[in-house]
Amino acid sequence: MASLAEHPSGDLSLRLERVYTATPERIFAALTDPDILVKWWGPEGYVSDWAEVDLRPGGAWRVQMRSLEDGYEGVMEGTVLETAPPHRLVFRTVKHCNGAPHIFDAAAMPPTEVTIELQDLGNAETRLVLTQTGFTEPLAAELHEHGWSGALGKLARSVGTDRPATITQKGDAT
Amino acid sequence: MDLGHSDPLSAAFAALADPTRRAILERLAEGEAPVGELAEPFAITPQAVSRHLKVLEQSGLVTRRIDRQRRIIRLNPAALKRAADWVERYRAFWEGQLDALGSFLEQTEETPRGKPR
Repeated sequence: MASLAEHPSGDLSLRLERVYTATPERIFAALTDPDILVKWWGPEGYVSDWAEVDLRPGGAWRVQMRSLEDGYEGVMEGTVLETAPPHRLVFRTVKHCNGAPHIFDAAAMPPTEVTIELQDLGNAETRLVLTQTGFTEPLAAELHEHGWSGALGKLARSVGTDRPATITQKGDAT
Repeated sequence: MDLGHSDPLSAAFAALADPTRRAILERLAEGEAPVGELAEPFAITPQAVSRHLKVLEQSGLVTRRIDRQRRIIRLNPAALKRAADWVERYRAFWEGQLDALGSFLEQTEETPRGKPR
């Protein structure tokens, strides 16, 4: 991999945090039990008809969604990398709602790694932390193919001084 | 933008496909520079350098400003901006999903031991 991915300054990541009034067990089940997933998954205006989850490492995590407005269907798919029920779920995104252009331009989306961590706060409250990393790897790979890996580190460093390397967004802690 | 690439990322990669332009960018990674200085290491005409700079400028990878009648070129990391845009789209997506999860958990709360606020 080219040096951009190795430089922390070039590694963009996403972090979201929520606190729910629910136990880690309930939330973990909502994320991994297909029968429960279909009851809530999907952005506003979408419903889910089916889901498949194989929690073994290398297994698939798939959720379909369908637009109520125009019937458009898409599937979000990940490969399970690691699980530690009910506290941790790590998957690599494989597909992003292909066929649902309102949500994503699938072709433009690189594979990334999503980690969901559930921390028991007591009193049936749980903090969910979602992090997603790996956004810059495809750029690094493309540039590497162009034989330009040497300058990439310098570019990443020069960028690091101009822009925040990490985009952090905290959700409502309610 | 008249490189024939509607997608800024493609335009950036097309601009990067040329060794002279990559060398110019490498130099610019060390800091901004006047056009004359950028042209020095290359055995090509000033016109050719101008053309390369134009391609780089159109791709968004560099910007130009005028300082006492000198054209100063500066690196503009458009490609990484693009990566930041991916992050932003995911952020919106996950925000929606986490909201939906929150509503679901509230509606289906089966144990009445949730702490009153």
